[in-house]
Amino acid sequence: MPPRARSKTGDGGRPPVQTAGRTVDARRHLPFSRDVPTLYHETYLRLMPRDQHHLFSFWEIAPEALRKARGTIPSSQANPSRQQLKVYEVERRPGRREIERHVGDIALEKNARSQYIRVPHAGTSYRIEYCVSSKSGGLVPLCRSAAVAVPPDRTHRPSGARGKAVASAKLFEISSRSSAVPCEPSLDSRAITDDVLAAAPTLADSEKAYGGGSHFFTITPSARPDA
Amino acid sequence: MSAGKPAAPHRPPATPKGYLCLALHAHLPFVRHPDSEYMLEENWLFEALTETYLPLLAVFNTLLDDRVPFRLTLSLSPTLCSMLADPLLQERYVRHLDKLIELAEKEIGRTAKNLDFSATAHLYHDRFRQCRWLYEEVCQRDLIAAFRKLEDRGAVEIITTAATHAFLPAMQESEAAARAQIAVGIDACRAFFGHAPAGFWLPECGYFPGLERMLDKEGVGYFFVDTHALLLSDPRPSLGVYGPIVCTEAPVAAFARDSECSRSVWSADEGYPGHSLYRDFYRDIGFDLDIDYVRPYIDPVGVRLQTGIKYYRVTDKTIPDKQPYRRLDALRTADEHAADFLEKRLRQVGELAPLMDRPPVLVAPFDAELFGHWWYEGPEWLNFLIRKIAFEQDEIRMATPSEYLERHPHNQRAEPSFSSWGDGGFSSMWIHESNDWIYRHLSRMEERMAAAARSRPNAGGGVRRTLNQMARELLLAQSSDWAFIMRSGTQVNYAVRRTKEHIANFLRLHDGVESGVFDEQFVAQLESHNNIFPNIDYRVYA
Repeated sequence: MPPRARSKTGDGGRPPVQTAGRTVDARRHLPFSRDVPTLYHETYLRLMPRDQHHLFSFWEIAPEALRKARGTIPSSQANPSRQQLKVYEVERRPGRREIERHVGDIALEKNARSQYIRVPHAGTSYRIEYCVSSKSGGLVPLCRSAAVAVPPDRTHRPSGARGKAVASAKLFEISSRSSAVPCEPSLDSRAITDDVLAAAPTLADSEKAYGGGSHFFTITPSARPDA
Repeated sequence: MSAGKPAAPHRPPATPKGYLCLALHAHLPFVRHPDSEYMLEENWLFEALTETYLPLLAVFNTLLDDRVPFRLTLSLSPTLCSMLADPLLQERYVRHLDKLIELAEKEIGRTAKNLDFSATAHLYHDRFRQCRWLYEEVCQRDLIAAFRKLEDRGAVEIITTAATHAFLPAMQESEAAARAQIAVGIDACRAFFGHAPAGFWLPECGYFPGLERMLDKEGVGYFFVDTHALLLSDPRPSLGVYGPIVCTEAPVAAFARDSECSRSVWSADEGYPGHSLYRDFYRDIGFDLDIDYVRPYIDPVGVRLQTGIKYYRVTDKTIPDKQPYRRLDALRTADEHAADFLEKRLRQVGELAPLMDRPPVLVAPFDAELFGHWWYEGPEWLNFLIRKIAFEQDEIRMATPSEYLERHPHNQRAEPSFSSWGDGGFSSMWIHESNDWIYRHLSRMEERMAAAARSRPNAGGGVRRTLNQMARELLLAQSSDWAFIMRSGTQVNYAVRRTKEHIANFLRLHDGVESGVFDEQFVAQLESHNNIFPNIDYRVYA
């Protein structure tokens, strides 16, 4: 049976390791191809939340769009360091205009097509923008992602009658006792500071935990040009 | 097991002090290979049938026959139901069982003079034969009907999950794709069980804010989430996880897993399944005995694998060698663990009830396959637990979420947090360097599928068949199991192969639709091979 999602299982719940998928019968290969394209020759940029502090993004820029943006520079002559992801914090409140704040840039390697991004604030929405250098040397935005939210790492404030607050706090404390995911007490989200960020898991922790490699990138407070 | 006999009248106290909401989620990915005489991965279904689904059915029916009142929630995935209803797999399962019975007979002879193993060999022989009798004679190979009867007898509430168990938080930007996973899953539930489900099992308990709008649109009343989905909800839930919340964006209730209930069973350190007297999962004669002896019962090319016959217990860690399994000791331990579980729940309810204006609900969701397959004595533990709840106390009552909501319809409104029950609590099992390559392809397929459906609202003939098969291939590629297997590192080749095949199939079909060329032979081949969701309508993506 295939392994299942909960990894913190008892001895009876660990997946077997001895039956690696393998080819048994030559006929099993008929009739389907397994060739999947490397490129789709389309322009797209996707952003996905992975956890409270990380996003995953992937993209592709159609060759035509790239040439047009660069003002006909052949891609082989373009400066590879001038492909960037711009990262924005997005504040959305009901009935108000969305506010976007630039929080960092990520210089991309020449053929990069995906990126993990460590973001400063849990419980916040982010958007990214893919930019390339133009013939004149400026950066041209080519593609923007939708805004996505990473989950919070702190509890929200309680609501409801004050008279029930003590009981509610107790119930909450009991609920949290064995939670696999630590939930810190609430703070006003505007008051989250760099101290809070410093207390959050480090990039090294994340890489260790998630097996992340060199394409993890951290948006740190110092990397916020507009901060 | 007899069917149709009404359960005895249930006379619980007017108001219990608390509720236990036990939910079992049964799921396997769709694995069916008509082109191969033998396919290792089809054993996943056969193992689960022998060790989990049939034993659980036997336990539940015995409880009903003994007039033991109980209520639990049973989530049966559409992929699992499709395989259970498939004549080819049914035939292959009977063949598999016959081989097991033959092997168990040989084992009785081989262990006849071995006092340590002889009784266990007889145990397997009896159990395999009982499985065959249940499957062939009692159920007539129709396990869907057997589960439906449990529901008709008032013991379980059957719910469903996403069509192919896709990890829905990975589809936040593909609303049409998430909507289709939900709608096709619910249609499958209607087809198999004759009704829309009251609740919905979010695959991997994966939730993201806004999902409730899609569930509400399909008439779903509740779903399950992991503990921190509620702990991090906005606003903070006033009852903790001991009462459901109603989502802010749509009136769908979210029930959160009580981690104390789970810890008793799942914890690697404290969990019951790791007890030294229970049967060990890993020591199997498929690995232990001479290769020529087991060859007819393992992979035809001679690769050793689990046969299901295991003679050892987990064994105390201080003892260097595994000790022989003793069935009676294991059953006694299961009984003690059932008592321990109930005692802990009674203590919990005793602590919680004075703090609440209604009885607390303790939500305990588990993978069904834990019971029997991973934890061999799991079905017996459930049997003991349910009997103890029914007859040895009157403070806790078993209830389904629907019943709880009926009794306590007014609940706090809040927005749960994005979450899953995977390691880390969010998406890191399904979005990882080992598997993140799939999302580029899935996102392209999702966009193409939606565009093709929107631009062809009235397709007929070959185009319609092609679009419907595109929808099947997309759904099959989205199965959360493939990404999880790639991440966990076991059976990776198969998961990669399946993902790539469905991507390639989809793209070839899409090319056909776009170019106006109908490849009848290819479409027919896929319809026959990947024959899940026979009544799918591609317009679910429009």
